[in-house]
Parts: sequence; structure tokens; C-alpha cells
Amino acid sequence: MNLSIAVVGAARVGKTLFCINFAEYLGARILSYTQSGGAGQGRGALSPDAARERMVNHGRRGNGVVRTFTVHLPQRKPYRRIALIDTASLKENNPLPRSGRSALLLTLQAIHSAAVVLQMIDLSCGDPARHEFDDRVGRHLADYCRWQGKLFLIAGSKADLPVNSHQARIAVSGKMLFISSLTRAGFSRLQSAILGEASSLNG
Amino acid sequence: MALLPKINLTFSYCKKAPFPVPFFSHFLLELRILVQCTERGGRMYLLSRQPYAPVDNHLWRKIERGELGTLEALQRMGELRPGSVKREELQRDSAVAAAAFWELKQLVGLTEVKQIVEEIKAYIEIGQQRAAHHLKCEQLVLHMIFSGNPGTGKTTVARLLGRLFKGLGVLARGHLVEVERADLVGEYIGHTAQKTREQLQKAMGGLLFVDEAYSLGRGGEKDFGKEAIDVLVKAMEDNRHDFILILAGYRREMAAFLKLNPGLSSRFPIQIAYPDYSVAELLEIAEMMAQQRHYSLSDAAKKRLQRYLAERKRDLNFSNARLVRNILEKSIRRQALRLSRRERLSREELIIIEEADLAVEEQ
Ligand SMILES: Nc1nc2c(ncn2[C@@H]2O[C@H](COP(=O)(O)OP(=O)(O)OP(=O)(O)O)[C@@H](O)[C@H]2O)c(=O)[nH]1
Ligand SMILES: [Mg+2]
Repeated sequence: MNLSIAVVGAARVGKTLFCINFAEYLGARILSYTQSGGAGQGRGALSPDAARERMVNHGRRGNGVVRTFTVHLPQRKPYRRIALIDTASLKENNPLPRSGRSALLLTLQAIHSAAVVLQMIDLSCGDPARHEFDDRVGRHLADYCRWQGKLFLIAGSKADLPVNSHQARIAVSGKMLFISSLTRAGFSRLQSAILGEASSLNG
Repeated sequence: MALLPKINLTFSYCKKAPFPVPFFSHFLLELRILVQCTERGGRMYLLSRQPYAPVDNHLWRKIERGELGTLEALQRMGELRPGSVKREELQRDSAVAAAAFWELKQLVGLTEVKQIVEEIKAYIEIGQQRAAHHLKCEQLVLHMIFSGNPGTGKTTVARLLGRLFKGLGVLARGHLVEVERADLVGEYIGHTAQKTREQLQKAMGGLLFVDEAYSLGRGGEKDFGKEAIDVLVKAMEDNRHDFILILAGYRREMAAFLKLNPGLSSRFPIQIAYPDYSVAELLEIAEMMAQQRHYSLSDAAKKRLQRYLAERKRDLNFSNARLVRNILEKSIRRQALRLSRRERLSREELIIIEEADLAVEEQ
């Protein structure tokens, strides 16, 4: 059985680093991926180190790529394969420019094809406008997932950095898992939340 | 799941897919086919693991055209839930709206109701024009409370509103589902939620009219009526554009009911009071009802009816227009009986209801 997880969130919350490090955490030594958007279709296989170097966004603007990492779990049950979908960052500006639109379309279609939707919120971010946006995205996603019978999780990312007080308040009020892709803190709890609950979803 | 066709598609992988990928993937979702794609290397990966309710193509296209921002798009995805009416199916039909509005205007009395409906209609129409100019336009919350005695026109107005809203493109179907406590409340735990949801499902795209809604608040905390209210309230939020809920009942009971459920009142921005008809209005109603049936009341019959209504108006269980209709229908039968004993009848005689025909004694 296969499980696909859409990782969504605003720009630079750490979606890509999470996908790479979580894939590695799940046991992948080579990351095979397919991607679309941005510069077009493509696929490849990279070591986690190379992927981190090439794909993690250090200061550049998001590139509108939706990338699916496939992780094979040979001896692990109940899934043989997990797809981690690193989506394009969600943006607030409206109307979106043409490139933003196709990125949004790809992202929403990825969300729609996934069984699990994981929203990432940057705990270190201190921008109230961003918090409000995250909040609203979260509410819409929760609504959507509830009706489609999908698992919806919120991960507070970059927990290794000083946590912004406002985000901490959201974290207390909601069901949020704290993670750090850098230190891999919270990964085991996230894994059991996804694999445990998702297997019951599949019935 | 087991019955779904499982199709293995093989296509050789190249830098450019043989078709635009977005089109391809939503096409597959649309067909609800469990798809596995085989890459040339023989490794499989899954495009769509599970047949979720399809998001309709309009939405994807709207995003492509840039008509929806991120948040709106997400919201719309959340609204497109299994079984819910697709917003795209809403169609305006100004002839239907105009006819319904005209009929409403023809109703006797009900000045306040007519005015409120006129405001709503104007707001919706102007809102549609504003939207055409890309101006912000909040969608009105149209859930309503109707309070008034029986026979004051609540159901009639609700039915007309359904047609009006369909014509205005606010509701997809505009039909009226009339329920009361017994249709919503079950006998055991969980039964109520199920029954209420069934009625809600029937009402999707139209109006759910809960008569004597205050009876749901009867019996206190432990009563299942409360559960029905909770399910209704949740549906009001979740499917806010898919149906309109109307809670109706006697004025005093409704007021008490809303007081007991303080959160409820604010969810119904439109609260309309249906006053009792005056005797003159009731007479007018009687004449209209007779006319619609191709009958006419004689002057003596009218006078008799007026006296009778003035007397009955003091009763507590006086039922307004419904009483008038019952009297009229009974009188029509009596007139028929009277006429059937005669041989040759003029057109006039066939039409007129005489004082003697009037069924006002034992009502
Ligand atoms: N300290 C810390 N930094 C992190 C963590 N996760 C990601 N980052 C940093 O945050 C920045 C953005 O990370 P990405 O993974 O590229 O973020 P993204 O969400 O994929 O960004 P876009 O694709 O542009 O939307 C990079 O500089 C990362 O090194 C974390 O857990 N802790
Ligand atoms: Mg990224």
C-alpha cells in the first residue's frame, strides 16, 4: 500500500528540508523524485546531501515547483511506499501572477491527490500578517480535509530556533506538532501520527 | 474500492509529458479511477491513491485563469464536499425570480415581509453587478426565523422565497423541505443526528423549513432536540451557501426558545414577524382564494363571514388564513350539494357562494 503526504505552507517555512530529512529519517539513502512546474517536468535521484544542497531554499525566492519524493519502506508496514509531496509555497497576493497560478494549481492538485495533508508553520516567524494567513490557510485545509476524510496535521517547524510568542499561542490552542527538520526533533512523533492514524483512515 | 477499475497506464517518460500534466491529473480524478502509472523503469508510483470526491473542473480552470487567489481556492475546495451542490450549477433565471416576486407582492398584507424580501433581492442583484466589476461583495447569510401564528403565510412565503432565490441564482434548486420535530428527533443516541442529516441532505440546494422549531428546545439539556439543533447549526456553517434554514413557530414560543439558546439568534440575521391578519385582510384573502377557484362570495356571504371572523379573532387558537381556506373549501362543497338538487344552472349560480353555503358554524 502507498501513502502520499502533501506538505504545504507559506514560503520558506522549511517544506523542502523537511521532505528531504524526513525521507532520510524513514530510511531513504537515495531520494528519487519527480517534479513539475517552474522549469518544467523532470525527475532524478540524489543523495540526501546533494538534495539539501540543491533544493533547499537559502534566500532565493520560491520557484513554483511541486516535487514528489518517493520513499520505499521495504520491511515497514503498513506502507510499502510513501510519497512526500513538497508543494509550491502558498502566497497571499491576489490576483496571482501567471507563474503563481500554475504553481497554485499544481499544489492544490497535489493536496487533492494526497491522503495526508501536513501544513507547516514557521514557529520562528514574527510577522503577524503571516500568522493570519497561516491561520486562514489552516482553517480552510482543515475544512477540506474533514469533508474528504483526509488526515490533516499541523507541524510547527524550526522548533530549534527561538519560538515566536504569537505562534506559540496558536500552537497551544491547536493540535500542533513541534518539529525541527534540522535536528529531527519531533520526527518520531510525527511519524507515528501519520502512519498510525493514516492506516486507520485507509480502513 | 474493490469495484473500481484499476488501470495501468504505461507511458515512456520524457522531459515533456505527452499532455499537460494538470489536465491529465484532474481528468483522472474526475473519473475516480485508481490510477497507477508505470514508468519505463518498471517502478510504479501512484498519482491518485484513493478516489476522493472530485473537485470539479471549473475550479481548476478558474485557478488557471487567475480568478481565484490562494485562500479563495482553498475555501472553494473545502466547499466542494461529497454530495454538496456545485456552485457552478447555480443559474440565474430572471423570469423565475420576477414571477416569484410578483406573486409575493400579490399576497394580502405582509408589508414588513415584502419589504425585507425586496431588500434582500436588491442586495443580491446589486451584489452580482458589483461582482461583475470585481468589487467586494459579502455573501448574505440568508438563514431566517419566521415567527407568527399559524396561517399567517409563513410557509407560503418560504415557498416563494425558494423560487425567488433559485431565480436569483442563490440556490440551485429552490425547493422547500418542510419538517417538524418528529422528522428530526430520533429515539436513541445518534439517531437524531442521522435523521437530521437526512433531512438536510434532502434540503441541499433549497430551503429547510422547520415548523414549530421551538419544540426542539423543549425538554432541556438531555433532550435529543438539542442534538438536532447542534447538527443544524453545524450544517449552517459548513454548507452556508448550499441551503437556507428557516426556523418557524409561534411568536412567543420562538422568543422563549431563542432566549434559551442565546448563540442561535445571532446566526439568523433575518428575523421576520408575521402579524395576524386583520379581519379586512382575511376577507380579502377569502375573496382571492374564491376567485382563484372560479367562485365568488355573495354580499350577504361576505358580511356573514366578516362577522364570524371578527368573533373568532378573539380565540387563542385562531388560525388566520388557514381557517379562511377551510371555511371556503367546506362552503364550496356545500354549494355543490345545494346546486346538485337543482336541474338547470346558470353560470352565475355555479359561481356564487351564498350565505347559506357558508360553513361557519361548527368550525
Ligand atoms: N533552524 C532551522 N532552519 C530551517 C529548518 N527547516 C528549514 N530551515 C531553513 O529555512 C530555509 C527555508 O527552507 P526550505 O526547506 O527551502 O523552505 P521551503 O518551505 O521549501 O521554501 P520554499 O520552497 O521557498 O517555499 C532554509 O534556509 C532552511 O535551512 C529548521 O527546522 N530549523
Ligand atoms: Mg522548497
